[in-house]
Amino acid sequence: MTLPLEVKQINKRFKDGETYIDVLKTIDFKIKKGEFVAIVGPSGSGKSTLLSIIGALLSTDEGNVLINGKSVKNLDESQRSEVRLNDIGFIFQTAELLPYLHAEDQLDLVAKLNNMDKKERKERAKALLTDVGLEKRRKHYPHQLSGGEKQRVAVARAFMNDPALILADEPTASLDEDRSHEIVSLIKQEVKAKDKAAIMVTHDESLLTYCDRVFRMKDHHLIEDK
Amino acid sequence: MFHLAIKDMRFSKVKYGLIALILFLIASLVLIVSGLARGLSDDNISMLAESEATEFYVSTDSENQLDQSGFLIEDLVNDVPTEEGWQPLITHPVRFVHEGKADEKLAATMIPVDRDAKLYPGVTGGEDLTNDASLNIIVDQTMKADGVSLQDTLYDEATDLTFTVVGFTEGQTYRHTPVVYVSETVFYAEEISPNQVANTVVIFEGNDTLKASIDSILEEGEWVDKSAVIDAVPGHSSEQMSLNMMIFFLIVISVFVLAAFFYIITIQKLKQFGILKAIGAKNRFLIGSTLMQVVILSVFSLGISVLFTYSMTFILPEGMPFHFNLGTISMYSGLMFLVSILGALLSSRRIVKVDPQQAMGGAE
Ligand SMILES: Nc1ncnc2c1ncn2[C@@H]1O[C@H](COP(=O)(O)OP(=O)(O)OP(=O)(O)O)[C@@H](O)[C@H]1O
Ligand SMILES: [Mg+2]
Repeated sequence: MTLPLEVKQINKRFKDGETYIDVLKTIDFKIKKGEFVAIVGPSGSGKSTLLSIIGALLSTDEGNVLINGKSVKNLDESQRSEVRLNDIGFIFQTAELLPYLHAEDQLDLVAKLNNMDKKERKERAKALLTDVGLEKRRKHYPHQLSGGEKQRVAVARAFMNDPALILADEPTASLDEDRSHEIVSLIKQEVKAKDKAAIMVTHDESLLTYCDRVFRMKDHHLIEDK
Repeated sequence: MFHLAIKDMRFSKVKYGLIALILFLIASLVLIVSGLARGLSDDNISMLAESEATEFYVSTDSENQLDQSGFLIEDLVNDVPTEEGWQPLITHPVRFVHEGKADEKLAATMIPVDRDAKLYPGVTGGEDLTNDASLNIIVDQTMKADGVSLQDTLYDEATDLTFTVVGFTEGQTYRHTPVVYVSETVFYAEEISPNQVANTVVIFEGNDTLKASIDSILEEGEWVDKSAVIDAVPGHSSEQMSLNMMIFFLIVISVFVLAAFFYIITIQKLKQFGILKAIGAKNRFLIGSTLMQVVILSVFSLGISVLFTYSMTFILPEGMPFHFNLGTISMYSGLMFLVSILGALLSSRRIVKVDPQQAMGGAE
C-alpha cells in the first residue's frame, strides 16, 4: 500500500551572506492514511520550511519527498502546481480566501482548476460546507463571515479536490481558544471521515490531544514524542 | 477564467469602473480627434480623393498647387482629342449670394464638366446636369447645412449670373468649400473664366505616349500623381500632421496611464496570486484571468466610446467638419485595444515572479 507521505533524509540550508545556516537536518518520517500528525517547536526552528518542502513549494537540498508514492524532486514548476492542486490541501494561518467569491465559489474555484465537472463540484462543495457547519452561509462573502467561519471555509476548501495529504501551518494562529479547538476538531473529523493524512504545525500544546502523533523540532531535527 | 474575472470586477465595481471610465474618455478623445482629422481632410480634399483622375499635369513652378497652376489648352484641345483619355480640370472659386436667404455669401468652388466626363461624379439627389446652356448647377450636399435646397437660386456677383440648384452630389468639397458643377457649355459660353484655360490636365490611367504628347504641347509643366496634389492643397498636410500628432500623443499617454493602472491593480493582488499559486493555480491561469478582465473592460469601454463618437455626428453642428468613418474608427479602436492589452501584459511579469511559498509561514 502506498503511503500518502514519505519524507526521506531531508536537509535544508539557507544562504546567509557568505555562510549557510542549516535549518533542517536529516528529517525522516512517514504518515499513514487517517493519521493526524502535529509538529511543534520554537519559533524559527524550521516548521514552516519543512511544511513548504512537503507541500512542493520549496525544494530540498538533499533528500526526497514522496507524495502518494510519487517523488516531487525533479518536477518543474507546472508539475509541482499539479501536485499541489491534486494531492495536497493547504490550510494557512489566516483563511486566505478571495474577497470576491462567496463560500461556495471558493470551493468551486479549486475544483474548476482541477477540471472537475460542474455537477460534481456543486455536490462536493455543498457537502463539505455542510460538514464544516456552514450550510446556511454558502452564499456569504468573506467580509460577511467571522474569522472562525472563514477558517472553516478554508478547511472545506482544502478537502475539495480530495487530496491525499492536508498541510496546516498554524491554522489557529488568528483565532481565540474556543474557535481554535473547534477548527482543529473539525480538521480531525474530516481527516478521519475521509481517511486522509494531515500535518498541523502549532504552538498550542492544548491542541495536541486531537492528534495521533506529535513531532518536535529540536536542533534542526524532528523527533517524535513517545 | 471568465467567471472569475467577472466576479472580481463585480466585487470591485468602483476600481474597475474608474479604469473603464478613463479608458472610455481617452478612447473617445482619440476617436473624436480622428473623426475631426478625417472631417477636415474630407472638407479640404474630398473632391480630389474621390476623383478617378490618377495623374495631374501641373505647372513647374506651382509646387503642385492646383490654384498656382495654369495652362492655355486651346492647342491641346485641337491636337489631342479628350477621347484619348485626358480632361482639363478648372477649379474656379466663387462667392454666391443665396437669394432670399442669408445675407452672408456662400463660398464655393465651381468646376465645369461635361456630364459624361469621368471628372463628373453624378448626382445623389435631384436632377442630373444637362449639357445645354441652362444655368443649372449640381452642388455638394454640404451646402444643405447652409440652407440650400433644390430649386434655390444662387447669384454670382462677379459674373452677374443667377444659377439654379437642380441636384446634389456628395463627397465633393475642395479647400473647405463645396464644389459646384456646371456644364462646360455654360461655363465657356458665359466666359466665366478666360476661354480655354485650365488649372491642370488630368489622365485616368498611366499612358506614357499620352503623357508625352500632352507634355510636348503644354510645356512648362510636369506630371505628378494624385497624392502629390492632395499633399499640396494648402492647409492639408499641416492640419493632418497636427491632429495626427495629437492622436499619437494621446495613444502614448494612454499606454502609460493604462499600464500604470493595471500595474497597481496587479500589485494589490500579488498576495492573492501567491495563495492561488500555492493551492495549485498556474501562471497561465492567473495571467489569463487578468488579461480576460482587460479584454472585457476594453471591449466594454471602447464599444461605448464608439457609440459616443457616433452620437457626436448628431450632436455637433452640421457645418462642423466631423466625419465618423468606420475604417478610421475601427483602426483607432483596434489600436486602443492593443494598447490596453500591452499595458496589462507589462504587469504579467510580476504575476510570474510571485513566489507561492510566501503563502506558507503566515501573513506579513
Ligand atoms: N527564504 C529564506 N531565506 C533565508 N532564511 C530563511 C528563509 N526562510 C526561512 N528562513 C530562516 O529559516 C529559519 C526557519 O524559518 P521557518 O519560517 O521555517 O520557522 P518556523 O519554525 O515556521 O517559525 P515560526 O514558528 O515563527 O513560524 C528561520 O531562521 C528563518 O529566518
Ligand atoms: Mg512558521
